[in-house]
Amino acid sequence: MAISPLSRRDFLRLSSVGALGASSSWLPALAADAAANPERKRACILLWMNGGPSTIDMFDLKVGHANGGPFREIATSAPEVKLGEHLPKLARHGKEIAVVRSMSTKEGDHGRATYYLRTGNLPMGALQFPTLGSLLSKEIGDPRSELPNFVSVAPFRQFAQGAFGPGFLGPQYAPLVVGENGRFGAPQPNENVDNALKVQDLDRPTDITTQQAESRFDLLQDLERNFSDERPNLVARSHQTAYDRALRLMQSVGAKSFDLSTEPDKLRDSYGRNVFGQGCLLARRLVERGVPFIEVNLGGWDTHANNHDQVKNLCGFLDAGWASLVGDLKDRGLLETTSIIWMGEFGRTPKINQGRGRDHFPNAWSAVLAGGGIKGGQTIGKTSEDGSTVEGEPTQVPDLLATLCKALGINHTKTNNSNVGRPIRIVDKAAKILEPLVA
Amino acid sequence: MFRTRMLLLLAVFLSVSPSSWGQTPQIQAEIDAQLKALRTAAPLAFPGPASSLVAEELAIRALTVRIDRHLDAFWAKNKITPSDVATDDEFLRRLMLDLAGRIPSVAESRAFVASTDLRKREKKVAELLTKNGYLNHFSTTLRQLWAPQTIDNQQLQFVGNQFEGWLRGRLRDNAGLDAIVREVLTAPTLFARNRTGGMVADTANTPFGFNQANEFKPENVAASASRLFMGIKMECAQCHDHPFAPISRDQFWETAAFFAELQPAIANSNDAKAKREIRIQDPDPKKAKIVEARFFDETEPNFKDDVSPRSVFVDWLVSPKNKYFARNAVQRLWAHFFGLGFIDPIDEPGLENPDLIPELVDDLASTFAEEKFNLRILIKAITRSKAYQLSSRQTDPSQANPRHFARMNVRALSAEQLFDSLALATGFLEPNVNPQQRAFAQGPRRDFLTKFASTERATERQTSILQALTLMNGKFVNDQTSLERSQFLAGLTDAPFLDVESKIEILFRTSLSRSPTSQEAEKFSSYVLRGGTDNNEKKALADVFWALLNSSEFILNH
Repeated sequence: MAISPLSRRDFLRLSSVGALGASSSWLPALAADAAANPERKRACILLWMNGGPSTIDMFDLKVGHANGGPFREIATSAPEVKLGEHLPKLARHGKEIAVVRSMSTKEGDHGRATYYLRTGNLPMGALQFPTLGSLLSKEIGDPRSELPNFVSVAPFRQFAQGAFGPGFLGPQYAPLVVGENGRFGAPQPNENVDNALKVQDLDRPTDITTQQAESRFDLLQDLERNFSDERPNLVARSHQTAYDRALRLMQSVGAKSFDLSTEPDKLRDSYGRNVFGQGCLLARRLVERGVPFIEVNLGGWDTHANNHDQVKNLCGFLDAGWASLVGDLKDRGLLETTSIIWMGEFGRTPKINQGRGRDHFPNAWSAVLAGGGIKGGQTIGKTSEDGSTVEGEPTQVPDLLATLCKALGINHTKTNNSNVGRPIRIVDKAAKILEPLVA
Repeated sequence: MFRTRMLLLLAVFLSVSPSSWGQTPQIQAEIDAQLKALRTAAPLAFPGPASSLVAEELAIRALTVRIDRHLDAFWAKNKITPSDVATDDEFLRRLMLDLAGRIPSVAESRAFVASTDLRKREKKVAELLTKNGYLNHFSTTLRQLWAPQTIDNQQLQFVGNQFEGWLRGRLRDNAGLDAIVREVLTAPTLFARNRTGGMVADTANTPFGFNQANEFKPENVAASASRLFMGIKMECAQCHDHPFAPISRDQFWETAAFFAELQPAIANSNDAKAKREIRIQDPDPKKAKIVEARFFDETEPNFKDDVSPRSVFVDWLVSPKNKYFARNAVQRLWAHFFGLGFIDPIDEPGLENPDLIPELVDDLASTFAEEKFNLRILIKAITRSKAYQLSSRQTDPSQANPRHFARMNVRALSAEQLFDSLALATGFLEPNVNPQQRAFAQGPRRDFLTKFASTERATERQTSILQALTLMNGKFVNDQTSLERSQFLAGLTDAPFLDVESKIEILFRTSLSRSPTSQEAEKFSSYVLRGGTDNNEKKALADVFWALLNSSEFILNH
């Protein structure tokens, strides 16, 4: 389990990278190529709404009912899709989005529900299910790519650490995480996010020469080999894999993607100058450079009190980031090959509580699919008049995830070897693809 | 050799057949002499209330032998050959990380290796248990386990720090785990009156933070209590019957009802009945019935109007009849020293997660209960066990499964262990701040705690690309391996009285707590003597230091 011989050679190449990276005029050309390439792989962007978003106020309004609250419903560019009034920008892209109003699960605990939605499975003994990004990027990513195949922007992992990692797939499928700040609540507007979204410590310290760095790695490699040969173990392997991947990233020209300062100010403003908005912009840049899976996290949805003010505030961030992302991808011809999934761990209670809040509600809620492989402009599933139950067939988590797989051209019944020795399907075989959603 | 002697000593003392441990007449004589000394000179060897200390020592030894017997039997049954006994270097590094939360200093490790005391390993454990390192490391560890919400939630950090300080005090007094848990679960409620009748709870001298971390919600406290102190994850039964454990939804809420007085409306009520009932939270009004506090094992609660139902709950929780409490505690403590418990995860028992060595857990748990939940006794017995003394080297393929404890598991360090070890290895002096402010102080320690925080299993923790970059390129390691910015390194490389071999030896010992092997000594010396890549001996020594600090052997506990 020693560091692969690639690393040493990579180190040799480090010196030339600085020069290449500095002349970034070829970057836009690269991006244009990406869109035109017929071999182009598909990409997926997960917009993860940590805390459980109040979908009844955004995608399945109950106007006129006591449970409905104060929000109005607005029309979108697609007659079949109606949204809450605080998503006006997204409404312009109604034709691209498909709302699933029939989500129904039994998990009302943040931890278990987060694990369920993000892995497609409930926690089960020693089995460590991989998170969606690890599962799907393994299928559609190139293992030799210099940029990581899975980038996670601003995750809040404390509810269910295992739901954010590669699980039994192993460290090479772990995400590169940027912008993580452990904040559970909503983003702060106008904060300086450029630094947060950069890959920290990416550059070799200026007082270390390339040659010196190379021989340091030589020395390290010997120590690693001795240690791991004598003590085969998972943690050292992960440590070594991380060093390998860090080295690859250091010498990658694509690492410039994380520098958002080259984007026009006006475009950056349209995404919203906050971690979520700029995270969406970063997602677009990474998709352009062939990163197959990016997740952008937006927290603050645990609106037990004062739900409607909080949802209005959060929709401001969500609407700007999401709508700009869809528009931008479309302008660049990338939307057709990029599938977007929007979801949280559950919805919120239709009944408004005494603190004008809404509590956890897994029984009936909405998720949204958009972009590549998805037939947009439609709503499927239906909830009762008061929003408390799904009328007709409820959509289970595996159904939603299998549909996403289909949109991405992934066979969801394919298996991976797990840490308990039995093969596990990408998505449970009981899953039923929501055929009307698939383009 | 030393370990063999100690095992023999125990064996003779407890009349276990020592034949399999290869005794020699000399060792036998030595043991006899030691035993005689222990028997006759016990009051001198153990100053203080001698009889109880001797009894304690006997309990520890008896438990150690039972741990060893169970594991020997388990290994034999599964045709497992355990690894070799760890060297003194290996043992001390591991022990200090587990008990003091950091690696040993050069001086500590040299003194330990040089000591010829046959009982130096167990004496070191006893010594460490009286030191601040143990109090700090265990209070931090318990706070992270019991109130993880207080680590990264800024609003809760302050009470979390107070909670940690309180835990530290209880550990200093060597309070029994039952007493500690009792205080935690009966901590002041938000609206309880203090001694002078005011409404402000005493947050500093009580485990108040535990309730705050659980939002003063009976159902949250009940879920935490059952998971943390019984190893039963009840949360899912909040909404539906538990898939694995025998806990129904009603039973979950009946447990929560013991904590009803945490609710502001009930805290100061005189209605004793209201303090032991709760309304099930359910959107369906038919299911939102009121239930009364009941134990899920059908024991009858003995309520008295002037006794808090929370106390009644704790009476049941820590009663010797409740096997969950002691079993959960020993599983968690075992996992502290080995990275894994006998079941894994500890709080999800079930058919998919069988207990591999149930007799051993029974023995540990019953002794723990008999010894009044004295943590130090359990720690001493576990650290003296054969399993804890094993090397992490794999000497036979049968040692591969980390749940078999046939070699020491290689484990990731916690963020605190990592930084404190880095600081020690590099001679970094943290700015002097008082303990209350330390948790808030900005600086490299805070940066590391944020960047390396993790709740993954220690045996499976993943290093992220960002963590790798921080260690490779980050300012802290770069400064500590810089000839200009590290006083330690500048001093070492300049020392005229040390040759290159000695300098390399010191770099190995300060980081890896061992001397280089002969091949390593040769390779690293020749690298330094030829001046590395820049024809500069000092710079080359800095390169060696960088490589050592970035190695798995440094970054991990093994």
